[in-house]
Amino acid sequence: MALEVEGLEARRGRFRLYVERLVVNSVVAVVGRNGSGKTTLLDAIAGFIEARGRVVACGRDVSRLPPHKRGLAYVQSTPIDPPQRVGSFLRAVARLHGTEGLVDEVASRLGVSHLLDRWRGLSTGQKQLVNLAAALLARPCAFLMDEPTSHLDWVNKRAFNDVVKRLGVPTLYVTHDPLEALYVADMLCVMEEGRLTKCIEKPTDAASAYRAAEEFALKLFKGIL
Amino acid sequence: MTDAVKAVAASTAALLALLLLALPLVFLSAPPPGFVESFLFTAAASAAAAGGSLLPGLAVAMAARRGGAWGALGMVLYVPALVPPTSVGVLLLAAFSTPRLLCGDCPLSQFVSAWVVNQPLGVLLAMWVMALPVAYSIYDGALREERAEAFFRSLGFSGLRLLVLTAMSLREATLSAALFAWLRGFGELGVLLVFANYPYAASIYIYNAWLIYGVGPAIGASLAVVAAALAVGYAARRWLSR
Repeated sequence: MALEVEGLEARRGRFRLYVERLVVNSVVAVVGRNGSGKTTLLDAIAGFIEARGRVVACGRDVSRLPPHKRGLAYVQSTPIDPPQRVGSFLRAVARLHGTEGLVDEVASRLGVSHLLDRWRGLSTGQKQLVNLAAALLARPCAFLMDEPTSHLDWVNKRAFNDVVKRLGVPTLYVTHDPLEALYVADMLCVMEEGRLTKCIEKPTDAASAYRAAEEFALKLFKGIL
Repeated sequence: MTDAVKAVAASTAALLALLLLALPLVFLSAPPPGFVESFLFTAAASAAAAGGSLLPGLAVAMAARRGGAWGALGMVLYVPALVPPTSVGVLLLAAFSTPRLLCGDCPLSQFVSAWVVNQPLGVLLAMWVMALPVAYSIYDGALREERAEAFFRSLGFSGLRLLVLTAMSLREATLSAALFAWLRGFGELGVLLVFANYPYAASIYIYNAWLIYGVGPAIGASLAVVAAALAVGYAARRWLSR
């Protein structure tokens, strides 16, 4: 099961995106500066903007399908408010995809079981986890994540990314934080001016680099520095 | 908040309160008979019109965000807000006069005469037309901030369920749209005067009260409407800030 993109071309105003080939088998992070085309890439793959080229998900060409038939769950940077009680919402998504039996398991896995009766007053981090739970229950071929932790504090960011790493579903993860990309992804791609200029496997020494940064952040949080 | 902002805010509110509440009290007298019926009818009709404007307003806002020809759809919804309400009334009247022009006394023109022009359904239709730009513009603003539609579509939702889920997710926008669309319908005069002046909506009732009974009874009815609108606005504000 993978997400494959070939010859993807899209325009947003005068901006042009072109991706020759991208294969997402695990967690692939796309890093780049503001305006480099990261969100446009996700929008084009998800079908929210017109694009030419091929998008293959779960082995089928979904390029001509509308977004709701592509099997690509799109988690946004600003978490979406659940439209009803969390439990009712998750069950509504599960009913649509025949995953009713998984609601409790997914809620427990993502640590949102205690939120099932809640509707309002969720924190941003809780909302994002609920969004991810709903996306999981949609049994997607792949996840598209657009800076999903940009509104989360450091602790929630870490917790969210730990969940993403364990999903076992191909995930295209857009971020402009290279450290986060190192932590969450197995492959890192760089986007510049609408093109993926390079994609590299995560270097083996990246984990130690991340741990050093994490220790620094922990000290900062605890006021040791 | 700076002192200048405080001064401008306080003086603006004080001026409006003076002009619309305090000074008119000098002439206050009881509203003429039929006020309660007219008030309740207007409240119910504008609530129905506001409710009916939400999903169409959201649908057009979602479509208009795709740009191109879809963007022009949004401009159509702004027409009732851009032209004088009396023009909207004249245009509606002309539109509903075409059946008689085309087919004489046929069942369709009989239906229009019996059920639409100067009838409760006509009042509802007029209020709905005026409520649409309000609902559309509020949802248009909300959709710029959030990408709820993209999220729900990617989960597999489409059609009416997508609209309902998006409206429920954007609950602050939905409540604001419902409230302001209701207020817009409630206060409408121009369209109703031309297209559907019976049963009497509150605005026509107040206009008639002024013509027939003078300033005092019209002020009594007006201030009662002001009190109701303030109460609804206050309740909505409390709910939104919870």
